[in-house]
Amino acid sequence: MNNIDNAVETATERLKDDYALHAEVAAELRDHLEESACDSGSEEEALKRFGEPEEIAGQLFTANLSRFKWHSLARMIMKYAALPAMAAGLYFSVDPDLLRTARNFLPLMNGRPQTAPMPDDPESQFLIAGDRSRKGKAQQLRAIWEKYPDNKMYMATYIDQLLLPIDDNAAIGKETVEKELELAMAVDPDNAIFNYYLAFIDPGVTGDGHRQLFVVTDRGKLDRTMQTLSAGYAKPYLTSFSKERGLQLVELYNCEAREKLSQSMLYTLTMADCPLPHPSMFRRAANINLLYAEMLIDEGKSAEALPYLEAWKPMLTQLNRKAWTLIDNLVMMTVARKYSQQAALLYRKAGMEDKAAALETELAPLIALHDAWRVKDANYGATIKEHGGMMANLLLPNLRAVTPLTPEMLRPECQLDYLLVDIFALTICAAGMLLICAVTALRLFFCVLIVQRPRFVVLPLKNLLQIFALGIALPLAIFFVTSWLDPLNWRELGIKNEISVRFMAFNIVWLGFVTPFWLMGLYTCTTSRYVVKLTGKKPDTATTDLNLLMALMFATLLIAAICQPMLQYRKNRIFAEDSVFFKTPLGFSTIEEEIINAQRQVITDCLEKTSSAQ
Amino acid sequence: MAINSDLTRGVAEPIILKLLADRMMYGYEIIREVNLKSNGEFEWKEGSLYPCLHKLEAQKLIQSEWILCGSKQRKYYTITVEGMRAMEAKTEELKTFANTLAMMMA
Repeated sequence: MNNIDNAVETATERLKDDYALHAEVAAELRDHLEESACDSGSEEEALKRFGEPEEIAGQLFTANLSRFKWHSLARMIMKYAALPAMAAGLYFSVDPDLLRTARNFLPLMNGRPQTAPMPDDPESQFLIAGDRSRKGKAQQLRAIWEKYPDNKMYMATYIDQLLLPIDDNAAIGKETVEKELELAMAVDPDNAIFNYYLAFIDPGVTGDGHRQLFVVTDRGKLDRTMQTLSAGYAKPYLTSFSKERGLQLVELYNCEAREKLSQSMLYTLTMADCPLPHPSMFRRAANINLLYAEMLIDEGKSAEALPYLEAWKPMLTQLNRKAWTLIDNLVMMTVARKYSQQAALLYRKAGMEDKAAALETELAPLIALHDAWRVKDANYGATIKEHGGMMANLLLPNLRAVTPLTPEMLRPECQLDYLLVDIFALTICAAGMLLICAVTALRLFFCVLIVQRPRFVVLPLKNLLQIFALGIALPLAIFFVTSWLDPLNWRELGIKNEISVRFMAFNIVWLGFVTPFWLMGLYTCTTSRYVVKLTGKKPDTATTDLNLLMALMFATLLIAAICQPMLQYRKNRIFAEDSVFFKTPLGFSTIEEEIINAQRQVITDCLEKTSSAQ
Repeated sequence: MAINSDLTRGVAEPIILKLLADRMMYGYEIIREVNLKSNGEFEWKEGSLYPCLHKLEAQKLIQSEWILCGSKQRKYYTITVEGMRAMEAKTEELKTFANTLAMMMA
């Protein structure tokens, strides 16, 4: 640094807190001294004429105080308000109801529904969990039945728990289970489910797959199994009272009010936590019927085989009477397919060609229904089959084969998951901002350690407006246009190609990842250009980081302040207008319930036609 | 004999306004013009011109703009309408002061 630079530096020392002012005055003084040195022939002479830099520093500070005051006010606001602004921005960016919803939703989608928080009332606690002083869940639930011995629902709930293949039940002997099931049959003699349970405790056969793979281990036991099943087929209904228990739990957990996303999700998961029919049990029953029928035909007892070849009718009728979930429907369709494929062959084997043809005709509507359901995308198939689908969007690939979906049904205001994605994107955006701030703060810390002095740069209003327009308003506009107005009609494409998932990913990437980095780049470039214009040099790293840190903190608040009211508005509209998710009787999506009902209509028509033909 | 800077300090503002009333100038140009017109009698510390200019600018009596001269930017000052009014008032005031001082010193 030469003498002129030293003098300029000293004279402008007190203006350093104002980046623009300091740069401007320094440039002016330097220009003066350089010209003066040129005229007088030496730097010393120019500096002598210039006067004492320390004295001039005080005068310059006083002369620029009014301008300086405004800027120092802006700096003070930045200094003291940036951190609270970021805290407020983060607070508004994260929707606690979304976190609760996610907490409820994610385990649900993984097939492990969590229970809602236990109510305070001891009686409600007892009716939910039973006597928790007892060992084992089954024994705990038995306590409820003991208290209400005539209640068929409590009994069925206990029996369901008792039969679960879990460690808790390992020590319970076969005789105890049989005794309990006989007791249950006495309490609810019209319910066929206990016959199924009893029949499969020790059926006298091994194997669970195709009937040809069954091996008869004890013919006597098999005969008894078939008698138990036959007695069950004569009963009017088959249920584990899962729907009734689900609705009771909803009431006990006090989650009937579905005013918030999380509450609504709690309702759904409570309903989904109820034991559903065991598909494998019915598949086994169908297989064992066909196996037994084949054995009787081979033994020349074709007439005795007939009830087992026709067992699908009572099985489906019983199931259909109490069916309420997609799983129920799928179980019925699977049983129908098994009979359609194998019972027809056995009829023909027994020389009953007319019955074989009649069976194929009778079951044709159910097979067609099953075929329609099985037209699905490989990525979605497993999840949907396993869970029956909780959100309309997840069901898209399958639903299009069953019911006509329109873009209107997929409007964002009818689609909870669109909103969830948007709220999630805002949360990620805030987290991204926080991450950039953390990295910047760390770098700033090291810069200060190596004696760089960071300085605030108060950008002109024009530049600030430019950054707001390009860095905040534009990305948010693109985000809301794509997520809300759907100008490219992606939702319709979504029905055909499942592009909606990619579209949602776009929204998360756009707001969550692109926007923070775009804003960071824009702000850094603008500040750098402004400083270069003032001083002819790029700002040092510490100055860049300090200003970026402040800007991002305010930007977080600004983005949250713009997004939150819009998302809240959409959230309120969903609660007010949505008929896809929130106004459903059972807590599944309307579309799912429409499908369930449409399928049941086909199944009911098919069964009614069959019984009237008889 | 050069005039002491303490005596010239009070008249710096009217002089600057008067010079800028004729044409726009930059800082060093003002100093040169003052030296020329005062035959070097005014002994100004050149650095103190700038606080004076900035103060006048803050009072909106003059305004500045950066103009590209050859390869370098230079800050030029021009007088405002308000500055013209202030200059006339200050000139009158200075004339009265000079007359009174002349009478007293006679």
